[in-house]
Amino acid sequence: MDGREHYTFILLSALLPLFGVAAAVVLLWNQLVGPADLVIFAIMYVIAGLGVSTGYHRLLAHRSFRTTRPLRIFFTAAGAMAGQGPPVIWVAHHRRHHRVADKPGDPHSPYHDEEPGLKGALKGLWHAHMGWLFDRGLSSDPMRYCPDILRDKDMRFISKHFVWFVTAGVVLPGVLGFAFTGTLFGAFTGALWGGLVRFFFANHITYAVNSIGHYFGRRRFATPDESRNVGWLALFSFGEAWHNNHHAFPRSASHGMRWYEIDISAMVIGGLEKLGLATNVIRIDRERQEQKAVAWEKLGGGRHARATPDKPLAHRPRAAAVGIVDVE
Amino acid sequence: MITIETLSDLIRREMRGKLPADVQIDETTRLDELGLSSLQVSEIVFTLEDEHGVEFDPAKAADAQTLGDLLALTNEVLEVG
Repeated sequence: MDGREHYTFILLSALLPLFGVAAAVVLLWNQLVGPADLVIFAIMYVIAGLGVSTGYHRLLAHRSFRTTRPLRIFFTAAGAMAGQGPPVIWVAHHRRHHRVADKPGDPHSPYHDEEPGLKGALKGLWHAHMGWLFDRGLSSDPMRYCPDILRDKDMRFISKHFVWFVTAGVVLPGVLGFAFTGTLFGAFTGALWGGLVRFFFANHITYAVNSIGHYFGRRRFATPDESRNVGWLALFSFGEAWHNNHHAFPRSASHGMRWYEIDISAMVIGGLEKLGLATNVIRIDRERQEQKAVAWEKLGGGRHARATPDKPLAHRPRAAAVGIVDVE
Repeated sequence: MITIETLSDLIRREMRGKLPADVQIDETTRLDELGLSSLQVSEIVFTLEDEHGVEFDPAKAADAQTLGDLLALTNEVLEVG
């Protein structure tokens, strides 16, 4: 995609789901929504949500666990269907976000252009939520940030044909709709609910982790950024909303750090591990959490705290780039 | 040993006919003047790796700015290997 195609894609991916939601509301109003539509919505929401959370985020961006090739392809394809960008680009932006979180260079910080007052705050939140996607000049240099993903042919294939996966994310629920109801109208409403409406809700939840998750909520760890734990977003974000925990221990396969911090993605990874389908699952025990908590407390925390950014993966020593020695 | 022709074939394949007509492909051509996205540049670099069974130092690959840089990088690794 060149700059213009990128912009068109972003604009369509912002507007079409919004129109889809409007159409769905009209249908709801006229009681033209069947149980099949809601089931399809739920199925697609889970596929796309796990694709982004378990696949793009924990498996690819942070290498929190390893899995088999078919599952790696499945999770990545599911993540691509969510429509948040090709895996290579998503991972590059995300790794850069961690490197300089809430500091200059962060692709999506609500503090990127700090202006005073409520208007400034809302502007920052909008930028972190969706505004940053419209920045034509933004590029996170995938060669520097994710040579590991680029070396994987499957990941390159999915990245290159990303738009087809997004399209499949709308066609597939349409096919399901037809299978469930046997009517073309059922196919249409299936595509609407499982495609566009799902696209809208699933992606705004992810965007909310980037905006709200750096603004409102509790901070357990005084990390050198503004990340927060947002309990009410945890369930529907598949655990992603324990965002302060995540910035504290980015490689941890579980973002929930207590038994009561529900993290569906971590449960899925744990389940796969029991089945022997996930290995090298990275866990941070309580003792290590406490140690780091004390260390950060001393530095003060927050976006003005001193932090030494990690080098991008391409610039790290070979052993660190391929192994799992770099636990954070 | 690969040549500029190998590289330009790879670029044409990647661009699928969208290469600007007036662009001259030689060793001094800069990657960014071809209108390639970051994804396309990476695709070219890592296809080179695959086709020749080598691994570049990713930091050096990311620093390559011209086609000449990319050729030199590839041939250097090929000679060692």
